[in-house]
Amino acid sequence: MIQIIRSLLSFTLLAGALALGQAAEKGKGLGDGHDGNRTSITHLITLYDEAGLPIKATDKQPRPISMRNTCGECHDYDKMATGWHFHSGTTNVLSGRVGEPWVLTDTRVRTQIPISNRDWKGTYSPNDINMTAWKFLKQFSSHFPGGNYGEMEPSDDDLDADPEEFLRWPISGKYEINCLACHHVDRKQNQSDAALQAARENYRWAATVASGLATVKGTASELDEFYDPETEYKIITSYDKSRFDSNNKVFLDIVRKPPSNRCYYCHSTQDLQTPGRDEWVHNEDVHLASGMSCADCHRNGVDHMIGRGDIEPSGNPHGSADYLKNFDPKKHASYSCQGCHLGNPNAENQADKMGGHLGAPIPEHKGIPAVHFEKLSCTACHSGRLPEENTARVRTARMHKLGLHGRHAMNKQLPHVVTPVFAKMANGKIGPHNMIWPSFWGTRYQPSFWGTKTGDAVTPLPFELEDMVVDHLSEKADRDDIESDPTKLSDERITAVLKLIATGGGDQEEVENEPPGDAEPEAEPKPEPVFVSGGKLYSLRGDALISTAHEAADTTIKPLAPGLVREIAGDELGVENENPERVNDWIALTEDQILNVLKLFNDHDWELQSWQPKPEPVYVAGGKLYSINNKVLVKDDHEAAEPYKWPIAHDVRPASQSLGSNGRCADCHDDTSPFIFGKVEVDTPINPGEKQIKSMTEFGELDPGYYQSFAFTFLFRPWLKGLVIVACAVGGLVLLLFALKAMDRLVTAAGRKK
Amino acid sequence: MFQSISWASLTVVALGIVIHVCAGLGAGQVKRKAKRHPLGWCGWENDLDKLGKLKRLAGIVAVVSLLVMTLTAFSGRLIANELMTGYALMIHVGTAPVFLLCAVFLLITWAHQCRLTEDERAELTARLCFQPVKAKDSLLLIKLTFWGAMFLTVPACLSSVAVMFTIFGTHGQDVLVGVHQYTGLGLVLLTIIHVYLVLRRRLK
Repeated sequence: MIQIIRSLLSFTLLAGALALGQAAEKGKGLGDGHDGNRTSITHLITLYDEAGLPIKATDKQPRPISMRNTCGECHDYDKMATGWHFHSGTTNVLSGRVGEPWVLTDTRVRTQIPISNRDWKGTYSPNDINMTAWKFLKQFSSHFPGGNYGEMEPSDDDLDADPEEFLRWPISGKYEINCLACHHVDRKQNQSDAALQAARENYRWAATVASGLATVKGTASELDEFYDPETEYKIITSYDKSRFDSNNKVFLDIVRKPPSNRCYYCHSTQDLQTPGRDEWVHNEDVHLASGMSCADCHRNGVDHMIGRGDIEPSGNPHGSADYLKNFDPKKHASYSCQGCHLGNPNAENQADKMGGHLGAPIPEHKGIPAVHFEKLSCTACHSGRLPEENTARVRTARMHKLGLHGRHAMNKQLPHVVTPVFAKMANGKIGPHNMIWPSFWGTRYQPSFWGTKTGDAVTPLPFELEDMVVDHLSEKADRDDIESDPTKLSDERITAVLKLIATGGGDQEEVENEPPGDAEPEAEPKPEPVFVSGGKLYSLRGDALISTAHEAADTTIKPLAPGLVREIAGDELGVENENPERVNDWIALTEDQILNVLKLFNDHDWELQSWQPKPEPVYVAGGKLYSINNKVLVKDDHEAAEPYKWPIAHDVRPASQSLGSNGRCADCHDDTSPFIFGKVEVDTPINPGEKQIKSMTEFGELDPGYYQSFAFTFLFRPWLKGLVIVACAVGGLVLLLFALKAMDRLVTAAGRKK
Repeated sequence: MFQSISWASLTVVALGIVIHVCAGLGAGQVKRKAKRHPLGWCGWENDLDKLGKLKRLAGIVAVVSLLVMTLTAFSGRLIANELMTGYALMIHVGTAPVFLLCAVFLLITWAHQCRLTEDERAELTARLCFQPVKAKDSLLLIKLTFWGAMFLTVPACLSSVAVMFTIFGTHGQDVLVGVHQYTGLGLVLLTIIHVYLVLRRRLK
């Protein structure tokens, strides 16, 4: 009998689980459609926790809200996770137009490193500095929309995972996409609270607390590594019971189109010319001042691929086919500056062709020759801070952690963001940019690794296979090789290892003798084993070893993690100094210090494989790359030291404050015009008090001689206008005189004839 | 469009001139006089008064400045269909007032001489009616190209100055640039024909 009951119970549970699963699948995306009714949908909903259980007001130990389970009840969470805000955690993300990166700063080690997984030139991937998903959250979760890194908990079989992080993830929980951060218009929604929870490593609780539905007591970062979140309740969630109705449903004031106030939390910019008490003098973006919201132009569908406003109707500046698949530029182009204000000639419908969306005025641009529209972006004249002789500095919400209220408020000064820098954009036009000068300790090395090549992409071997190579080389090491230069492997040795990789460590003959029926005929091309070393890529052609040039083998500069720098050169850099000269800002660095630190790195015992050459330590700052040459510090220009800049479009100024409006040609065509001849700050911790500048013309790729000459001609322009008008008047009168005479002849001749 | 029209019209005029020269050579019409002033080809004579010299000098300067403007304007346009920018634009704009002053001076000083005589009016009427005419040594075409060039000079110059005022928006600017381009092309074509006819007559 008991057996029967057990069986029935198991069956019932299984059926229930299946039914729940099907129901969830059925409901997936239910709320993503639009039946055409423009009324906001009332969100009186059941809240669900991480386990998918409904949260009730009467729960004794309630859990925090899970966005995946609560919002995912009706909306396709995974589809939304493909949006710009949520997909940057992997290395094969879409690049898109160059944008604001995350910036890892450390004043004590004089570091500011632009970080991004997107293929933006000048940024470094978190992997480059050994930044795991956990470390990324620790650094940047104060202004984080959730998702991507927030949900990259290491799996149980992840051998690379840091053991400590492995234990901390279950305690803190995943930082799921915080849908409410954008779509919850309740004034109680407070992202500063989410940041506070994130700072405590309470990632699981961040969205719940920020929504104002509950308060949380307890700090995950203070809990023991062996704390069990399933059975222990040291982090206590207390819901506001008045928010629950008799059915345990809660009203959330959700809107489809987020208000600008929500966007501002992560996308605010502070002008440091008038900070603090004088903030009130600033105007908002002219569009917002007229009653619009960010989402009026930055629109998106369910996929959350939000329009970035940069697509011009005639082209795809991203040059990526993948980008086009995920982002329909034709549709988004209709809501770009040009799309609204001038119309999108390539649009499919007449309204988009005509432009004027949301009442956008069609500008006449009186007195501005059309060549300006070929050379300049709309933003060049209309956006950002009005240029002055010297560039200014701004702080941005994400980089400087603005908007954190109360005790956890910060006053970060780094990174120093220089603006406006008028530089060439990807589409060849000049536009205003924000810019930072990278500063970091790093290494210059020729990559040396065993890997596989598929198509043109070269990937290093996974750890287990690399271990196999290490074992093989140590077992069969040629003693002569090792004694002379361990990094130089003989061709025979390389060939042997490549063959070993090809067989995956097994017996090659066995692999070759596998029956053909087992092979998948339609399988993808097999990765080719390769060895990257000494600037070359080695591979096998038949049994012969060949070497070719490949970008994966090019000399590379990579930053060192600030933690490692502290460890190796903390004393030299004065990391422990309790009273630095500047707080939250550059602490002066001398060239002697750089030399000493580089020597320390040189002497450091790097963890290298036998085939890897020792990296050369370098320091990057102020547009220069410092290295040691013959025991002397040398500095050179280098690509890695070039500033990282990204185009900006906000705040848009009123038309009357745009460059060149009302015929003010001198705004740009004066010999002192900041637009062309402005001085761009070079930001560096080396003598930070000294003013170091570069000319704006370098960034706009403009010929200063020509523009000086051109500006000079504007002195004579009024004379030219007067002269041409007078000369044309005189000439016109003479022509009129003779035209009248000719007319007289004609009339007379015609009158003579009967 | 403008590039194609420019190529076509300049080619037609150049071919026309070549054919005309060849036809003239065949008829044995080109004769050279023995002694001539080095600047005789532009009508310079030893007994010219000051105004006469000034008129010829203005003519030379006008043609040279127009040549400079033609090269700066059409070189990029004909080869790469690119609008003038950079130093070429500066040279073009810098030369324009010189040309305009000379052109107006020529208009004032030559207009009277370039009136059509009774015979020329009769010739013009006959030509317009496609009737045969005997017009040996006729100045009709020279005068007509003179008036044509002068009439085109005014809109060509005014349209380039008008874009500098905040009167015209983007569409207006496009129209003005079009006016400037096409009147400029017409001016160049008429001047080429005029100069050719004048030189041909002088070198006889």
